Amino acid sequence: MAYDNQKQNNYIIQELIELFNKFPGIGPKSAQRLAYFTINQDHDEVKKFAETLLLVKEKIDLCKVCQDFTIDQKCKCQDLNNNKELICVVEDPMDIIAIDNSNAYSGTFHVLHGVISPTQGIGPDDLKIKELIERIATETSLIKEVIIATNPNLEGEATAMYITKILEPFNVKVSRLARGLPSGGDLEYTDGVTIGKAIEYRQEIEL
Amino acid sequence: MNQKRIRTYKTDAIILSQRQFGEMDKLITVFTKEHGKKTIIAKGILKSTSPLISHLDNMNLTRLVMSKGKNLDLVTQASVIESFENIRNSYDLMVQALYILELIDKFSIDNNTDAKLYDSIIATFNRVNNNEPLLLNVRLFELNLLQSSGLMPEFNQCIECTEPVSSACTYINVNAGGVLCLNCKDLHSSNVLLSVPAIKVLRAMLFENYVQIKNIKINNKIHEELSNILMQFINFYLQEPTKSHRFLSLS
Repeated sequence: MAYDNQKQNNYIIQELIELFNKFPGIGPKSAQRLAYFTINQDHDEVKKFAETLLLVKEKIDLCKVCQDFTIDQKCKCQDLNNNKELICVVEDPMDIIAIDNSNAYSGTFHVLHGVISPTQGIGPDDLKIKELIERIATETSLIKEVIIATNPNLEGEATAMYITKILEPFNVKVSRLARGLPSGGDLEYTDGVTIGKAIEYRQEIEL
Repeated sequence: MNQKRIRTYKTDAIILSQRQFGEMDKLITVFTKEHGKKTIIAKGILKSTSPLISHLDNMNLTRLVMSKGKNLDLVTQASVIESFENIRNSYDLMVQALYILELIDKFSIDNNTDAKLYDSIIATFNRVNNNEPLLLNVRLFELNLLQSSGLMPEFNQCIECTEPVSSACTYINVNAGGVLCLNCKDLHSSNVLLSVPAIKVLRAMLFENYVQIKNIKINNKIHEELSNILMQFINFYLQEPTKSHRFLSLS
């Protein structure tokens, strides 16, 4: 009987380890460590963690307007303080956090959930581009500018070019984030294209 | 006296693909002249001040300084030789270039040196970048790739009876690996009949030099026919369609 109980206990721990193992970047050893860490934690802490996990899955959905993750369709894109004339198009929700942290942008966002990447079989139809077009078509009079903030790499540029092409019929200004030297960077190690762009879009120093 | 082991080396490479590894690192697949296809690791590349980041974008031709590692070699320095700006500035060119990158990745085997294929990649990208005929260069590259992989279909002699096949009536069978003469065509099913101009252009691509081929006028129908037949051969050898091929028709 005691042996059966022991087996039962191990089975639960084993299952917890396997569940942790499913997370990206978590191998079998890390999963073990996390499982035993959970066992040693306070009851309240674990309860809060489990409830939050469930809540995230039940409540969070894609916003019908900006496609960011939101709770009960009360997305922050509906905030009255936002400048609704601007839409910043980003690859994924984490980019919104990065741009928000800069405190330099007050407009709305649109999340594509990926980039056009032919080598991985991801095309325009797999992204939220259709939703962007619908959004612009319904609010044409309101929207003044679309800022494309995809990453400045090959796939990001392809996506930016595709969106620019597809937005041509709408009378809306399309811009791209500037490319140039990063603060804290080193000119000596920067590639020619970046230096070229930095010179092309140089700015006058205001005193 | 023991000679000190050399732990660093320099090489030029075309960047094929990359994926994030850990918090700030990336695993990058490159194709080099001296070492063939290799997967290397670039540490700290996702920091905004990383001196490597702008040099290691896909499709760049980059000079790398590498340090030998236990499993993966580590990039210590990188500087772009050519970033093919014209291709990057056009969606249509970029889609074709990404298709080429996928083909190289799928056809080559790790650490298998192939200097001829490397030269053909650089030549193709340079020509496309210099506004030379796009589709012709992509088809030529596909033929070069099949040739260097030892999978070149036979386009002159019948694969059954080795009789030369005239261009007037050329049947191609993908499973058999080439053309069939009129007598042997019934030995195989699902043959494709290639039009006379298409087989002539195909043979010119195989035997003439680039300057001569460039001057041949090729209409869209021939391009479509050639693209279709070469794609069938490529899919047959890879045993799956390439992921990027479905985007070529969209562009």
